[in-house]
Amino acid sequence: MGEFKIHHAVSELIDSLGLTDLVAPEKFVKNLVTSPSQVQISNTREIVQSLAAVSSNPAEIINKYEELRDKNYAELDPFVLILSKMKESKTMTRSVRAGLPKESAKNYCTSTDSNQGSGPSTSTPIVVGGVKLKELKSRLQTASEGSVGHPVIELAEKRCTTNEIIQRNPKWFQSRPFLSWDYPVAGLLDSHLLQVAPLGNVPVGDQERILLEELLYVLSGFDGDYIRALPLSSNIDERKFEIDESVDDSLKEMVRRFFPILASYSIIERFYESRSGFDFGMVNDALASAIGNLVHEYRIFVCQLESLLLKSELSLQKAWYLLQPNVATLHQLHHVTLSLMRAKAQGGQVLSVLHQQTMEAMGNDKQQKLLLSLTRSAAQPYWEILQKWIYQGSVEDPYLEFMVEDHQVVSMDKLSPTAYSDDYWEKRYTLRRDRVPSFLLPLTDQILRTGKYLNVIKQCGMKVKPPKVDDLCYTLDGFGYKEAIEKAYSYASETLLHVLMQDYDLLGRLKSVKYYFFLNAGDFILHFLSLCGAELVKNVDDVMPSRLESLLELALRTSTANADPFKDDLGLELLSYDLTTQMVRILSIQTHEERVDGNHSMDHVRLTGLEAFSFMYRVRWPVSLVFTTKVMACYQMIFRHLFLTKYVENLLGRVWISHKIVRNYAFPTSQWYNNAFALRHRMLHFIQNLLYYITVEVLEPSWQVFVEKIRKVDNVDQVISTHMELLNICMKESMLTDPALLQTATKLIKLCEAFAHFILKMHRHAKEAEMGLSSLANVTSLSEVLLTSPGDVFLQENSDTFDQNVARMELQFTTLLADLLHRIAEMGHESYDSHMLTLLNRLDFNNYYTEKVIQFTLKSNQTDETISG
Amino acid sequence: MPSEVITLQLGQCGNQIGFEFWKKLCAEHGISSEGVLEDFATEGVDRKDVFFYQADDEHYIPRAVLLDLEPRVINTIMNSPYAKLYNPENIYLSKHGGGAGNNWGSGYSHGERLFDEIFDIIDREAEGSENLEAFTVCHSIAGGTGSGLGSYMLERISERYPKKLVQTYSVFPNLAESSDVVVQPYNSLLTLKRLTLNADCVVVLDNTALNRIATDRLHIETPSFTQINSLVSTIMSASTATLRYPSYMNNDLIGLVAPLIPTPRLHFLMTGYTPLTNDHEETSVRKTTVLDVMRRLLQPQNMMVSTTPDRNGSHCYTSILNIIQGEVDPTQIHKSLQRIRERKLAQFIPWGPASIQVALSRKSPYVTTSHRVSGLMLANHTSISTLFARTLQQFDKLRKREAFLDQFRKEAMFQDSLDEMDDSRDVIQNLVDEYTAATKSDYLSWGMNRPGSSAAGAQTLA
Repeated sequence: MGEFKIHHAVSELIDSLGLTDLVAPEKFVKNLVTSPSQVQISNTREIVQSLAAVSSNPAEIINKYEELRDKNYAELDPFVLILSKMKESKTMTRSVRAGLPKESAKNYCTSTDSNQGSGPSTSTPIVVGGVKLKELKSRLQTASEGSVGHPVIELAEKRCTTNEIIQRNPKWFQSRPFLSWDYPVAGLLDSHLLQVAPLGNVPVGDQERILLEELLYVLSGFDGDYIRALPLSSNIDERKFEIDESVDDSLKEMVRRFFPILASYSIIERFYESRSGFDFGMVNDALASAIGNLVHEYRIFVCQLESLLLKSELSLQKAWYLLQPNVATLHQLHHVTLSLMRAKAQGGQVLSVLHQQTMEAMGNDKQQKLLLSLTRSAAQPYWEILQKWIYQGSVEDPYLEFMVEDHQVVSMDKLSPTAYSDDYWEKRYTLRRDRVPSFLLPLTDQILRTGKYLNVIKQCGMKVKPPKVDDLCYTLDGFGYKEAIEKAYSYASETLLHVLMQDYDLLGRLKSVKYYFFLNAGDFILHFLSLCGAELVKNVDDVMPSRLESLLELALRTSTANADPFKDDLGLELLSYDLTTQMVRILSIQTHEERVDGNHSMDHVRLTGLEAFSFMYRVRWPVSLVFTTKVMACYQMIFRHLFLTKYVENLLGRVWISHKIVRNYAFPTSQWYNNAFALRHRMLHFIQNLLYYITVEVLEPSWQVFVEKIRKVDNVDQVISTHMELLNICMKESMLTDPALLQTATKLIKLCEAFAHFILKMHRHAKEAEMGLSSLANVTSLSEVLLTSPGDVFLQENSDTFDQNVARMELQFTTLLADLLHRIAEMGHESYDSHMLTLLNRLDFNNYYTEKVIQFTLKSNQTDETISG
Repeated sequence: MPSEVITLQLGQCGNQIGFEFWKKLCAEHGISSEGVLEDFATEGVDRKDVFFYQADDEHYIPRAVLLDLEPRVINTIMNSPYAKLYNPENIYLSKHGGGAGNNWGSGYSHGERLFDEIFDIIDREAEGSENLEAFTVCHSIAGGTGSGLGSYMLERISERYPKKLVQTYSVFPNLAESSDVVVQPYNSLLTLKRLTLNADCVVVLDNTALNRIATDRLHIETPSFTQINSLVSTIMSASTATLRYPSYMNNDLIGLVAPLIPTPRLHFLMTGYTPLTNDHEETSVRKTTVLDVMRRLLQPQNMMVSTTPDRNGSHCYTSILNIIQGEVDPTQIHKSLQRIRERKLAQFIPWGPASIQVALSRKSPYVTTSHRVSGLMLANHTSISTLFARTLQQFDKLRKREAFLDQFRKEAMFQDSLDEMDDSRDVIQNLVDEYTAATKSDYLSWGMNRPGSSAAGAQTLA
């Protein structure tokens, strides 16, 4: 997550906590950015217990935790950690408590509603340090609602839509209870069937025979007369049994020992029956079928017991003895199926649970073997989907079990390549963390990318020939499938990288974009400026894009840019906002000043062509994967900043040329302009150093580093992230990401521009006067014209003389520049990795400004003293 | 193509250094002596069209105008392998070929007579370029043609092309040895006036310093003109490198010189170059780091101007531009600047921001050099006024004695009076004063309270 996203999130969080007045977001952001993102969580269970200890209802918390853990939510552990941190931090509890009174009842209600459907972030109310965290959470919940749909809700919605397509179990399945082997008549018995005589009246020997018969029934899932299953309140409950009270005590106890086995059978059977249908997906189906086989064996065993009984060779004792080898298996299956049912696990989740159980069975060979075979069978359908994905790049997942989801949101024809790529890369294939089997977690990214890359390759019109490997199979240590996935991944990434780098000359593209957007093509930019300068100073509504287009074309053909093979892809556009507005909006952080005077001033400013102008670059699929809209926006911002600066440099150059006329004036007239010269010089000095700093000290070195890195990457995602890294560094070091800094710099540049226009206008006036075109024709000396001409539109007070105007601009310039230098120096104190201090050093190389500021403060101190004294 | 530069070569000296300059440019751009692009240089990212244009048959032709009043140097050029390089229409030789006889007045009046013919050539050349940015004038200020004709040309060009930049490479006479031109101080002073009032940027090439550098640095006992001129051409080509190999910055002449010249009269620039090597001597390859280069550029012995040693140490840099060529890591530059700043290796003016600007430029891929990094310094230093003060002294010596004035009195300008000389003296005296004032922090208000003297300058303005 980028720094700005974090900033945004933190301030939203603070807002919804109602703590706006108490804390500033900046403090936290810094911590969050610097601290490592992955917190090692080792002893969550202990934390939960300590949390529970202070709660009013400890058992509930622990239960909830277990339940959530079974559901395999990745966010659970960090969440618990946060809760404990909140509990520990006194300031936090205090501020949360402080925020509470403002809480409205309405908020509370909405939150409880949303609790029902959503997952981990809302558990049972936990009272920590006397503060109801639930309320707090609910507020967070309401704040986050609508922004990102919660996975579970989304899942449910998705299921609704897909269910219409896929088959369901037929209706009669529900209406015929006797199809079940899980005590179908439990609970119905009393009302329907005749009461039987108590067994206690029968002799003990017969009692055992009858009970044995009953037991065989019950073992295969049907109620007997004397051993009866009790009805369930919910289908994940453990089933309870009862035995006729009148039975002989020792027999009764003997039979009771069978009850846990029966309960296990009941759960397993319930799982088997419910999961064998369509509703729970293919993984569950496969698992159910594997369990079905085991159940079948178990039934055979029961039959064998029956034959023994018929030969009168069975006693309860013997049955118990013979049953023993099966107990462990049943117990294990019971455990597995119960947790799967509790979690309502599906797809990847099922595999996660199975994998975990298998790992936990380490040391118990027999059990592990059993679980391993179960996991293998259950994983089979998952592997099949996975293979389709990593070898062909297609998702065939009707039951939403696979970890990659294909949103066929967009089609290439309708959207421009860049917009398409944005959606494609970010949205088309998404990862569902909750569906990733835990044994595939380390490979998740590789798997996702493999398919994505294959898709891109296919869309480039190329054949995909992945390396052929054997079918994948689950193993405990990952042997086999890991290798296969890696192979497929390296094939896909290498192929795509090759396609991009070789067939589409990505590096050449990058160079070309840098060439234009970083003003590397100095002569081209200058030529373009000299051609379009007049057009760009107009109001944006009067600028004719078609004219600019043709001038751009001309500039491209007649400069060194002509050697660039991609020059035709360069275009231009006029945006409806200027750079500062764009930047501030993107950051969506209000600077202090804006908070005070509101944000409204920006929108009403009429833009000049120059402010609205930007290059754009036409990219085609698949290069557009790298040049997404976001990336191009970054390039544009850097470009606009530079372009404005370059324009002003050019303008000041024109002022310089116009000043040469003064050389021929006599003393002392010529000296009157010294202040204007000095100001022009300082402005030029500032502008050129700014340009030098951004281009030579920031852009070029970062670019070199980037090229080095790009030569070493081995997949496209690395290309994309390295590229983004480059842009982020460039934007940060070019002062674009600090709104206050950017605004000061922009103000300075604009002031230079205003000054240049003012001087050039004066110059024109003077010339006109000299040629007798103006009403001031009778003025004998040029200087007098300059001294008396009305001020420029950029100046507030038109009545001022030339000297006064220059003096005021000088004051403005000095103040702004001192401000800028001060800010840069401050930033330098805060972070040592910043390049910006070099700009400071360059601007103040001979300590001119340092001394100027000292003089300034001295002067203002003196005036203060005189005022106070 | 924007920002073209037209080169005017005037007189013996001007044509000699111009000749070397074009040789150098051809080598750097991979253009043969006949103007044909060499096979190895077909597709480059350099800009040849700043200084060349292409004829119908794709030959590259220099944007150069060659003028002289006597045929010797131009004939040498026309007999060299480079004869076919130039546009023959751009070569103008005075018909009677007598030369200006080392007399400024003669050169100037020649100019008046030849005005039409010369400006036919220049106007045609200017119209032929798309967006002419500047004129570069190569000449010496001591002789007759370069100084006299040069002065006349400067006056006319600045009034004819008021929006164009006029830059000169002006060779100052060697003061260390006695000159065969006795009227040299007169010539120099009269030319200096025009350089002050009619040029925008003067790159001072001091023969005294050039000879010193050739003997001390290059270990040539008696340096020839060619060797000296090759030094000059190195400077000329390096100072235009950023125009010809465009990159982020300094891609036009104005962007290059404007920051160097804060006030319009103080536009005389010194140069320095390092490392200096000569063609036949294999230099022991020294390691050239950026810091080495930048430090050496600040040493007086590398400067191509010999200024009188600064006794009270008040002279200072107004601005510095270092053009660094070669493979350079920008962080090295920053470190070097820091070092220079910390050790106060350069004194700067107190009345404005000043720093060492750095322009990075590529080297020509077709010319091999033994060193990795080379640097050219263009600096505006107030001590250059000592050079003018020396010229004033020498002028005053002659003028007091009224020596050698007869030849001048023959010319129209001096027939009635020698006011022009005294006027020029005032202008230069003012220049020296202004340079001295520029070392003080109150420079910006300097001259405001002086009584208006020497209004002559204003009248020459059209």
